[in-house]
Amino acid sequence: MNTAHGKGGIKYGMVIDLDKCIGCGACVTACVAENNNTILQDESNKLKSITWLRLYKFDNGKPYPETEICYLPRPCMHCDHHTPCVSVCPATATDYNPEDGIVSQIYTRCIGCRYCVAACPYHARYFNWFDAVWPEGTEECLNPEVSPRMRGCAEKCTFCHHRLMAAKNKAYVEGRREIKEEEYQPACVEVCPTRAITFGNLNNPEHKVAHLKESPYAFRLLERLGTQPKVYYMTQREWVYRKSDNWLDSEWPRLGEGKKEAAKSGGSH
Amino acid sequence: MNLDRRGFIKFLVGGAVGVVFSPVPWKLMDDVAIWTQNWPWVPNPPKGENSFRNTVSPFGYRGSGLSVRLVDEKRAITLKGAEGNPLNRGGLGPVDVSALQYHYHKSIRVKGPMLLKNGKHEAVSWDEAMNLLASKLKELRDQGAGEKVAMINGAQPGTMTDLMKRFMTAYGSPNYLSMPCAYDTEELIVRNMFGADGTLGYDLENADYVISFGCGLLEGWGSHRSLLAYKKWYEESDPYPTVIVQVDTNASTTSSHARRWVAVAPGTEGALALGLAHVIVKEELYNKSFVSSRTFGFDDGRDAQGRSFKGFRDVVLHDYTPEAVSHITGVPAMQIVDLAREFALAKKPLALAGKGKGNMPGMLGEFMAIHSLNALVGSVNRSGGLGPVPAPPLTAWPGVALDGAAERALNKERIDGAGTRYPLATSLLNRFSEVVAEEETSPVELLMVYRANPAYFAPSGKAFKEAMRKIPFVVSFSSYWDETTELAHLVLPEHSFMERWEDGTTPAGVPFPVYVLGNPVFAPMFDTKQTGDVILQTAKTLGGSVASSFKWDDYESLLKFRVRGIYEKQKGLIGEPGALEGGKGKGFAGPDKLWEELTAYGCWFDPEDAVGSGSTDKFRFYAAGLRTRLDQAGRHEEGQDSHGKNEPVYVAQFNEVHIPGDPEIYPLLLMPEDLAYVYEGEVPSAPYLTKVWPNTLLKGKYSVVQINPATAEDLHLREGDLVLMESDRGGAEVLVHLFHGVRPGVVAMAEGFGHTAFDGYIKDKGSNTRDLTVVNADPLSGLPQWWGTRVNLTKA
Repeated sequence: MNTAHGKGGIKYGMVIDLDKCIGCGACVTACVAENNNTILQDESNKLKSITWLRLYKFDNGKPYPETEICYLPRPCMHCDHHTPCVSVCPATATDYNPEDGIVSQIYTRCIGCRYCVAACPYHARYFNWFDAVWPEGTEECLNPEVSPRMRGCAEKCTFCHHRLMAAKNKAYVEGRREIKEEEYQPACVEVCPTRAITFGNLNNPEHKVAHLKESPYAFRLLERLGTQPKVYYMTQREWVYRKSDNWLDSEWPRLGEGKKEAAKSGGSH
Repeated sequence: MNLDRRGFIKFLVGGAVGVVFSPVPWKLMDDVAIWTQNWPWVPNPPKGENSFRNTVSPFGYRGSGLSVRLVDEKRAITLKGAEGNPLNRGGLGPVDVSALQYHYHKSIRVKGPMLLKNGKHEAVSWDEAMNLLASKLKELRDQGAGEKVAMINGAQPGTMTDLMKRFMTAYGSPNYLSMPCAYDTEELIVRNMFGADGTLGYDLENADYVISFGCGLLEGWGSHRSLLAYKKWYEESDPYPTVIVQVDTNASTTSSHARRWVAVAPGTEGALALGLAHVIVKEELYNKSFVSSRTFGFDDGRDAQGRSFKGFRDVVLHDYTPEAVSHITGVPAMQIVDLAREFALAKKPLALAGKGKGNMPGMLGEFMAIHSLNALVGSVNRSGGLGPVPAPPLTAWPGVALDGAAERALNKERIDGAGTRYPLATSLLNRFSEVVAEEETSPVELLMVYRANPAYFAPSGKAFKEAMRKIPFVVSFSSYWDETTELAHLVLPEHSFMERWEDGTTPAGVPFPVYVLGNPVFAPMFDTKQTGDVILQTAKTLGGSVASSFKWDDYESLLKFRVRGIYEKQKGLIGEPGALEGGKGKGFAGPDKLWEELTAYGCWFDPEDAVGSGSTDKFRFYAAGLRTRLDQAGRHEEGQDSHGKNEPVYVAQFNEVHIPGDPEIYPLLLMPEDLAYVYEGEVPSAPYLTKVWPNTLLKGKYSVVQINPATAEDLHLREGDLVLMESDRGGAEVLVHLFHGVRPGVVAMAEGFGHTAFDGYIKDKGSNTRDLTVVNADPLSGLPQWWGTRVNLTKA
């Protein structure tokens, strides 16, 4: 499916610098607010909680006082190759858009089989087990550009696709065919206090992400699955990189090796 | 027509095949799917025209500029950072992003004035409520018992705080209290070591070697500018141009992002600072020209009053050798020497003081040590350093008119003993709670609480709740049904932050003067009032000298009166987009124009008055002011040095804190932890924030505490065990998480949980550290300390 667009096409993607990320969670809260995520009274039940952008916390496991922690914000990876959720969806409720590389989710089309939830290797998909609820009165601040979901359908991060639509409309009205880098930025990117998240067209050399993803410190999660996520991470900390895949004890991956592998597998990144 | 059996079967099969190959079943299935999912109770937010409006966040990183996205100017949808605000430059912290929920979350808001009748809050009219407050106040004043009125204020520095203080002065009560925070200690430092008034500003962005002594630099310390500084240090070049060293007992986000984490024994950060100073002095690495020309008290001498004193040099050389400091802190002596050399040889070194987010007063000796270290390397009043920041040029308040009753009451001793029993303190909420709780009849008849939730967040919260039950009349101005408001007799709810005027002066740590002004984006949703107006009105009702001190028609005109001072000074810039790149201010066309611009952009600032641009006051290693204050109060023992000698020392020193409790019964030390994504204080964490919390923080109704695996082994505990944590104050059931980053023998527990008020989104989640912590006093200043409490963990 990723053959429909050539090297020059648009592929939106993200680079998250884990050394710059301070795990404050501003991106998570901005995402929840922008995308009308439901809020349960007990959000500590992670089986029921819906968090399009989830913040993971982990540590290097070294004894005191050499312990270090790292936070990892995890949106949908918008996999570019054999997108697992798209491959399994029997209702075509989730689709890969060859025009921009965004993996969509059409709520009214979803039949609630949850195959996609099971297929996603990144746990980025969530299922609405219950009717949508919000704290009393806060329905007032729901975003009209994003439809609230109903019980029985799956959902996930859309790279704030509605913002792309708005930017496209604006460009169309102004007689432009292309939208500028700053015109389309997801809510998490916009709010990040340390600007640890960068977003743009991975194929456009004028966009920052195109350079950042080439960094020797850039890698992707579970890269060996070959799903070619469009969310890249960066770190200069070896131990953080080692957490990016299920390495065997005999494997000693070094930062930068992941990039070589990706190049070998023939991906266009 | 005859239909035989064969024909019938053909018809059935043909029909079935036909239906299957027609779009009917698929269309029907689609319709059913849509129908089953299009339920009317799923909200359908109405669309409309988007617009943006600026205001200011009073939560989280106070003063951050907010750009509110409005739909049809009726509903606020999301918040993003205001581009021109120099504090946050378009970014936002997690608490500020969630702020809209403090406006819209209806079930936690107080919808109108309430009076407690027969144990229940009942709605009353504003006239009735305000008359009741005024008559109670008048009655006490007429009895000559003005001091029986107390006030607790938790608002940020700004016009409301000044107004509350002014009201208490004009009314005639010495019992004005603030919520304790690091500023209490900083104020003493600014006055006695920097010889100025106001806030301490840190020019973080231009520093190149930063030692943070326990500050949660990335967890909420100072203003949003700490995060901007981190971003700049990180981006400047590759890799990390600015070295961050985190001195802390437990691993934190800041320690993990620092070049080095120096793990110290709890409460010994000050000793390490003095150890570094020892090496720097001994190896003559200090900034000699700065120390000789712009400091006082480095060498032994006599002060202006002719009192002899021991200089900083002698004290550190004698008492704080790397070996001695290593013994106290647990940091290897060689590491202390290396760190000292690196710090002294950096171009723009800077040492930061204040634990966590700064929710707790610091130890005076520790703050003195850290700032003496800054002075040693010449980082005082220079770019990339620190120094006192002048207040924004707001119109000065006119003098307060005092009648005889007010003067008499103001001369009485404060209930908490601040200024008398504790000569260096100005407000001691913990002592206040203890005194009121201990007395048979409460010395306070009327308590007003503004922008604070002491029943939840006061140190020794249980004592405060006991005290509150004894006070005959408690008035809360809160917008929310918080723990304090639930116990209040009269509730006079304030507008939400989206409905009220709210200003603030330079937030903590910002290196230049700032004035922020939040404006009412919406008309009030409920029957609430701007508390400023309530105070002005009450003063008028009280009449006499009280009324004459409050001549403004309403709060808005008071704010305009104050802002006029900025217009008259014609200095500084409005925080509009592009202002940050601008440089010099162009002045303001008129007071109304300035007001209009301030309302539109929410911020004024003056980079010309930044740290390092003006003040040449000498830094005092020897704090003569502290000595004078203690001498006047006849209290010499506070100045004793750490070895218990009777010779008072008024230069930085390390005082070992005696933590009460029997280590045999309570072998562990509970240390409260501050996190960026948990909000404590005046309001609880908004429901959005609960999405961020990992299960190593909260699980169901239980708080999760972190202990070192070695500690767990000693106690025979395993990951996820439910344990009872007990201190002298109380107990709580918590879950255990094993984490190597916590020092063996320490229990780390996040603050901000365990609310007993509000609704199911906030209530009964975890335990409140402050119900467990035992408060003890800083030996030098008497300010409350609760960074360590002895506890015990037993399997539940």
